Parts: sequence; structure tokens; C-alpha cells
Amino acid sequence: MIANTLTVILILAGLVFFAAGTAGLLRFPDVYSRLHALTKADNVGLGLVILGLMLQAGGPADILKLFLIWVLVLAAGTTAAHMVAQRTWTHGEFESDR
Amino acid sequence: MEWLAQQLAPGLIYPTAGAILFALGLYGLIRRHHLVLRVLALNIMGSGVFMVLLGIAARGEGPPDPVAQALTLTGIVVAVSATAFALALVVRLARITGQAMMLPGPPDDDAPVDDISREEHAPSTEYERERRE
Amino acid sequence: MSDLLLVVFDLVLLVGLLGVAWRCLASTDLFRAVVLFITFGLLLALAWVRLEAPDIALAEAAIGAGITGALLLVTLERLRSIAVERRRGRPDEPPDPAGADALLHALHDPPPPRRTFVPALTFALVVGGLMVTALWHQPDAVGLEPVVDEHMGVSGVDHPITAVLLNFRAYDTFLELAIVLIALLGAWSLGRYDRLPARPAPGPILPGTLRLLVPVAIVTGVYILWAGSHAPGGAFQAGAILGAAGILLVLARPRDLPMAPSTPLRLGLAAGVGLFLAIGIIGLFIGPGLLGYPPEWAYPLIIVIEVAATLSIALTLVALFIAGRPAGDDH
Repeated sequence: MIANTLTVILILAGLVFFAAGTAGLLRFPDVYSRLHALTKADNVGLGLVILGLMLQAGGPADILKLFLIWVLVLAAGTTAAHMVAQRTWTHGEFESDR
Repeated sequence: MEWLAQQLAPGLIYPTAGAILFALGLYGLIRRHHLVLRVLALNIMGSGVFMVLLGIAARGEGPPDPVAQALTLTGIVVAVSATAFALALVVRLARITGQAMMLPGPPDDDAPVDDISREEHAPSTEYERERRE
Repeated sequence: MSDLLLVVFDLVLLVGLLGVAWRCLASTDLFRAVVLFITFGLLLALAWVRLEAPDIALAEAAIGAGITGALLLVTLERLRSIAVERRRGRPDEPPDPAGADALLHALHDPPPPRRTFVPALTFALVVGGLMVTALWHQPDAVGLEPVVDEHMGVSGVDHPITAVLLNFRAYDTFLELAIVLIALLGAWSLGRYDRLPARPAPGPILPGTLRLLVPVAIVTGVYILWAGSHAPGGAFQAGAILGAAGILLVLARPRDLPMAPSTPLRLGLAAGVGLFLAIGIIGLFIGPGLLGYPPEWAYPLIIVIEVAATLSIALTLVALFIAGRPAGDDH
């Protein structure tokens, strides 16, 4: 019961971060501030969702898999954001952004 | 409420959405001229077909039909290789003609049509260069 | 209550899918269209999970969204670099001062002419309407699930989809591997490998991440291949994951790509089809027929074929991404 309540609270909190990140992605004016909003919000949001799901996991193997997913998404997201920022820095923003 | 949930069972609305996706892809395929967009439209049509297959496979009680799922899996891999080949053709066409468009046809049949194969283009490979000399 | 929530989820997902597909096909900017298509693929993977098809969802996320997206993006980059070259080649036109910026026009498709609107709409509506009507009046059938279930004992594996793919309908899978190989031969016949237009990213971030990710990808690929005999997974998904790792490696060093040795590369590309066919022909003599296995041998044979198919699919996907046959073997 406590675990279920905690899961709901954690996932809802994660979704709030996702919503904030998406709002930033849609509303912010340029690539850098969008990346800033997206990566920070999504990393925390995903972390909270994963934490919530860990409370429902069947055993240590599932918990480990969920943790691994989070770490991999963190690594991939960081790299992708870095590449997007780098490309914008050297080549300017995409035309469709203006 | 019960009735509504029954009408909107996944076995019914997913195939319907698949049919709509197919029609949408068909519409895009006819209307857009850039070949990359046409490849995208074909892929969307393919996804519509997969959705029809999987939606029907999920109908009824019990586990879904594994044969339809296996066929879809095969279809996805075939779709990606066909897409890769189509994109290679698009790049080759752009290299020869400078365009990656399917331009609207001539207004009437008597008008001369540009023959791509005879268009002059710089030899792009050593093989062509040797052949020309 | 939970039924109603699921219906709401279905409707939101499907409306989202249709909306993304529409925006993708209506976009005048090709880059935007491609990004929307990748989004479409990811949403589709979600739909497959909902339709109880985790195998397809895995394949869709890795192949439909990931590898197709990479192929599309590299094609756009190639088209852009072709436009740059052609512009530079003409003496009468001054070189473009804005450089890459103005060349973005090469990646634009103007809105379609108005006169195709009515015919296209009519055609699509008729075809879509016919399909919807046919689907709604289709009788509920049990499908082939009971038949497959009944014969699982002789298939050699415990996962019905792997059993269908590599035993009951092995012919389809064999032909599919052949199609993948033929697509690669078609791409190779169009010209020799030329340098990827991608610009290598300066800095240590990408190579460092790859050092971390590629071993993980290899372990995941092998795990998914092994899991395919009793759980969702198998040769296609594993091949797609390994192929994606290969594409990342290619992207990390687009300038100084090491040339693959010719003979092992070709052997690897043809391994899946070749081994499948060889085992199939052996089945003709000692087994129940072409591409059939004696039940007691089914498990090891399926594993051998799956390993070879995984290798071939991964290599073919990377080769299709590079496109063009390897330089230096035109003799």
C-alpha cells in the first residue's frame, strides 16, 4: 500500500518534470535554452519515473535493469544534447527554427 | 459506458487507424514531389499495413496470433532495406541530375521529356572516367 | 474504470500517430519531416506494446525509428553536399556567400500544386474507405494461434514468434534475408563508397560515450539473441542493435573509416542466407523437407541460423548506411 502510494507520487512528480521540459522545448526561443530545459527536466523526470517503477519491480534483477535504462538514457541524452549544441555553435540554427 | 468500451476495443480501432494511416500515406505519395518525402510516405503506408495486421492479430481472447506478428517482424526488416535502397537511388539521381524531385509530368504527351540517362554529367567514378577516355 | 482509461490511452495514441504522420507528410522542410518520422516510429513502438507485440516493438524502436532515421538523416546530408558541389562547379554563378545556409533550399519541397488536391484526396478516401469497411465487416477468427500452440513441442524453442520465424515459416524468413542482401547489392551497384558527408564532432564527448555504449550494445545484442528462444527477442532485434552500434562507430570517425577486409566482409554479409540455405537443403535429405529440421536437432540448428542471421543483418545495415561498395575491389 505504501509502496503503491509512493509509486504514484513519484511518477506524478516525474510527469510534472516531463511536462515542464516539454513546455520549455516548445516555448523557449533558441536551441541552447531549449536543450537546457529539455535535458535537465527529462533526466530528473525519467529518474523519478524509474524510481517509482523500482518500487513495483519483482526482484533485484528488474531493479538493476531499470537502473541500467536510466544510466543509458542519461549517457545517450547527454551526448545527443552535446552534439546538437556543438552543431548549432558551428553551423548556426536550422532554417526552420527562424 | 460498457458499450462504448466494447465498440472501441483495440481489435477494432487499431485496424481502422491503420487503414487511415495507409490512406494518408497514399495521399502524401501522390501529392509530394520530393523523393525523400515519397519514401517517407511509403514507409507510413507500410506502418499502416503493419497496424492492420497486428490489430487483427490482437482480436479475441487469449494471446495474439504469432504468425501475423512474425510476418510483421519480417516486414519491418524488408521495409528498412527497401528504404535504404530507395534512398541510395535518390542520392544517385541527385548526383546525376542535381534534383531529387519527381517533377510533375509534361503538360501533354507530345512535349519532349528529358531523358535522364543521356544527361551530361561529370564522371564520378574512376570506372566512368576510364570508359570515357 | 481501467477499461475506459485504456480506451482513452488508445484514442490519444492513435490521434497522436495520425497527427504526427500528417505533419510529417505536409512539411515543406525535409529535416522537419524526417524528425517527425522518427517521432512517428517511436509512437508506433508504443502502439505495438499496446497490441501485445513486444517483439515488434523492439524491432520498430531499433529499426523503424533508429536505423531508418539515421539512413534518412545521412541521405539529407548527402543531398546537401551534392547541392554544395554543384553550386561550386558552375563558374557563371558566384559562390554562395551564405554557404550551408542557402543550400538548405536543396532540402525543401515546395507545397504541392493545387490541381492534384482533388484527385489525390478522392483516391485516398476511396481506398481508405474500402479498407475500413472491409475491416469492420471481417468476421472474428481465432487465427493461427491454436495451431502454433499445438506444435510448439516440435519447434525446438519456447517462444512462439521465434518458432514461427525460424521453423514453421522458415521459408519467409529465408527469403527476407535474401531480400536484405539483394537490397545491399542494389545499393552497391549504384557506385563506389564515397566519404560520408558527416562532419566529425570535435572534442572527446562522442568517442568517450561510444567507448562506454558500444560494449553495452554488444552485450545487449547477444542477450537479446539468446533470449529469443524463450522470450521476446531474436535475430532481427539483435541484428538491429548491433547494426546501430556499428553505425555509431562509423559516425564517430567519418573521415578515416577503416576499410573492411573484402573477403571476410562478403562472407559475413552472405552468412545468414548461405547457412540458412545449406541447413535447409540438408533438411531436404535427412529431415522432413526443404527448410525443415528433425525435431531433436531443431534447437541447435535454429541457434546456428540465428547467430549467422544476426551477424549478416548487423553488417548489412551498416553497409547500407555507408552505401556504395567498398573502394578498391573492382578487379
